Amino acid sequence: MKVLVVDDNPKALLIAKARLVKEGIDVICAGGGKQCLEIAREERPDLILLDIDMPDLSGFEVCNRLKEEETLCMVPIIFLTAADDNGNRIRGLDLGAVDYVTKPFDAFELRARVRAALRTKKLQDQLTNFNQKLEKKVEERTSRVQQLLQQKNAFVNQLSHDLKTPLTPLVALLPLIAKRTEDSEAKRMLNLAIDSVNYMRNLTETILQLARLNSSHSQLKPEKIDIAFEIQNIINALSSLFSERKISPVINTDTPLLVECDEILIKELLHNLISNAIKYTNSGGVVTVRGFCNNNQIQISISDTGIGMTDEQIDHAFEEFYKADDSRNDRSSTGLGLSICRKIIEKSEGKIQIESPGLGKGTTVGFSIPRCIENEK
Amino acid sequence: MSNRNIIIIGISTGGPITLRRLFQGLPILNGSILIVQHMRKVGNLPLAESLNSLTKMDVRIANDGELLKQGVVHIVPSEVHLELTNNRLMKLVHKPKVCYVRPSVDVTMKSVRKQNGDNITGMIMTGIGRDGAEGSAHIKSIGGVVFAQDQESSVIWGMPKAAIDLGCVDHVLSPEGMRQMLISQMGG
Amino acid sequence: MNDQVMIVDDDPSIRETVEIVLSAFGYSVSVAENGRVCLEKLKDEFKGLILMDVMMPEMDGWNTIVEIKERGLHGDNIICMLTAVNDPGPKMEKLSEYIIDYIRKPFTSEELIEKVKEYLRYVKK
Repeated sequence: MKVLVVDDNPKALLIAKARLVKEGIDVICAGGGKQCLEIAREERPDLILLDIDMPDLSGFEVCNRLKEEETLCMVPIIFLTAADDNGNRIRGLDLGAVDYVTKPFDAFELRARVRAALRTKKLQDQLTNFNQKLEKKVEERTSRVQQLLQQKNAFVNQLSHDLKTPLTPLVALLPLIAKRTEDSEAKRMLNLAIDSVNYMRNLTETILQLARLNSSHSQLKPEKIDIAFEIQNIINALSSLFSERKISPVINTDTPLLVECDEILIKELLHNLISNAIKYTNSGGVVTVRGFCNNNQIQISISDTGIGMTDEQIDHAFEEFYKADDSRNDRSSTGLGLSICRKIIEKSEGKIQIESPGLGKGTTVGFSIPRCIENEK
Repeated sequence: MSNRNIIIIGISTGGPITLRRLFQGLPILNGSILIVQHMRKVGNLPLAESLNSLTKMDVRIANDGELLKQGVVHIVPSEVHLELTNNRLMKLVHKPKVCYVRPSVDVTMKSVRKQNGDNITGMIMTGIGRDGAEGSAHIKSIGGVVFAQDQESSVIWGMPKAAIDLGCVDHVLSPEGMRQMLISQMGG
Repeated sequence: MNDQVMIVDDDPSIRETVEIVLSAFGYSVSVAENGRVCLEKLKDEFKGLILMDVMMPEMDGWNTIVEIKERGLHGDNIICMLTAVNDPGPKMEKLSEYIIDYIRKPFTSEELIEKVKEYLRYVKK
C-alpha cells in the first residue's frame, strides 16, 4: 500500500516516514499543498496524511480539491493536527477526512490509525471492484436479452412468412374441392378444414403484426389526429356488422379530440376494440363509445352490454394468446387482439384497462393517451 | 376562360385493378381527369378500354397538343411526361425519368398553376416509391386538395404513405370513398 | 395457344396450385421453377402474363426482371409478382414500370383469377 505524507515541516515528514516504513508501507512525501495535489494525481496513493497549516495551500483547501477530483475523491485522508485543536479536527472530519492524528505523533497510534484506514480502503476498493464487475455483467446480460428478443422477433417474422407458402395450396384449393363435391358428408369435412385454414391465415397475419409492433425498428409516425372523427369513421365502416348482429352503436364524444400519434395504429386500435365489443355482445345489445378530454389526456371508453368478464379473465386479458373463454373454441379469435391493443397504446404513451361488473354484465375497455397540445388556428 | 375541375391521379403497382374499383359506375363528372399510371406502353390501350367499360366518362390516351376536355379521362401514355400549359394544354415531353419513372405524376402535378379559378384535386394511389409526394405538396401550395389511398385497400402502400408523410394529404380514402367524394363534389 | 400464363416459383406446391386453379378456369399454364428457366421460356417466345415469385434462391424475382429488361426479353408480356412478404423492399422501386401488380400469398382462387383475367387483357393477342 502507498501512503502520501504531506507536511511543510521536513522534520515531521522524516519522522512520519520512518514510523511507517517499519510497517512495510511505501511512503511518498510532499512538502506542501500544491505538491501534494500533483503527486496524488500521478501516484494515486491509498491514503494521504495531510498537515493542516501549510503556507501555500492549507490542508483543508487541499482536501476540498481532492474531493472534487473524480479519480482522487475516494482516497482516504487523515489530518495531522495539533493536540489541543478540537475545532480543526471537527472541521477536518466534516470535510470528508476519515481520521486525525495529533502531533507530535505517538508511533503506535500513528501506525494503528494508518492500518485501520488502509483496511477500510482495501475493503472499499474491493467493493468498487465488485460493483464494476456487476455492472459489466448486467450490461452484458441486458444486451444479450435484447439480442435474443430481436432474434425472437426475426424468427417469428420469418416463421409467419414461411407459413404463407404452404398455406397457399390450402387456401386456394380447398374451396374449389368443396364446390365440386356433391357428397354432403365430404362437404362438411371440407368446410371444417376451410375454417381451420382461414383461422391459420388470420393467425399468421396477426402474429406478423405483433412481431412488427414488438420490433424496435418499427417507426412511429406521430401525426395530429382527431380521434372523434376516426371513431365515427370506424362505426360507419362497421355499420353492416352492427345491423347484422342487431346491435346499436352509441357515440358520445367531444369534438374534436386531438392526439398526436400514429394514424394507422390508432385506427387499428379503435377497430379492434369496437369490433371486439360487437363480437361479445348479444343481439339487441348496445355498444357505447365515449370520448372526452380530461386535463391533458384524451380518455376513450368502449362499453358493451355483452357477456362480461370475471376478475381473473381481466387479469390475463392482455397476455398474448389468452382467450377469456377457451371452451367457446372460437375460431374467429386468435387471443392476440388485446395484446396488440396494449402494444399500440404503450407505443403512444398511453394506458389501457378493462372493467367489468362480472359475467353477463358487459365490459368496458378504456384507454387514455396524451392530448395534442397546440395553439388553435 | 371559365374555371374547371381538374383531377390528377398518380398510381403504380396494382393500379389497373384499383382504378377499376375507382371508376366502377362513375357518372360523368363536371371536370377532367388525368391518370398517370406507371406501366409499360403495352398496357396503355387495354387500360383505357378496361376503364371505358366501367364509367360513362370517355377514357382515352392523351395526345401531344390536345386540350383537357370536360367529362374526359386522359391517360398519360408511357415513356413520356405530361405537362399542362395554362392548366389546359397537354404537352408530352421527353425528359429524364423522375422518381425512376416516366411518366411521373410529380411532373404533371408540378406543371399545374393557380389560375382561372380552377379547382385542382390530386389523388395518390397504390404503388411503390414516392412519385406524387412532391407533386401533392405543390397542389396543396396552390390551394388544391389531395386524397391518398388508405393502406388497407392499397396493394403497396408506398406512394400514398410518402405523400401523407409530407403532410400534404387532406383525405385518406379507399377507392370507393374517393369515388363518392368526387361524385359529391363534381357529380352531374 | 391462346391464354398463356407463366408461373415462376421455386416452390413446387405453389407452381402446381397455380397450374391447377388456372387450368380449371380454362387458362393454359407454363411452369418455370426458377428465373433461368423463365428467361429461356421467354427466348422461346412465350407471350402472356408472368406470375413471378419474389423470394427464390440464386436469382430472385427482382433480379430475374432486371435480366429480362437487360436482355430485351420483356416483349409485350405483363409481369405480376407473387410474394409472402408485405414489404416490397427497395429493389422494386426502380422496376415499377415493369410490374403491374402484386399477389400476396396465401391467395384464394378468386383473388388469383380476378387478377389473371384482368391482366391477360393487357397482353396483345
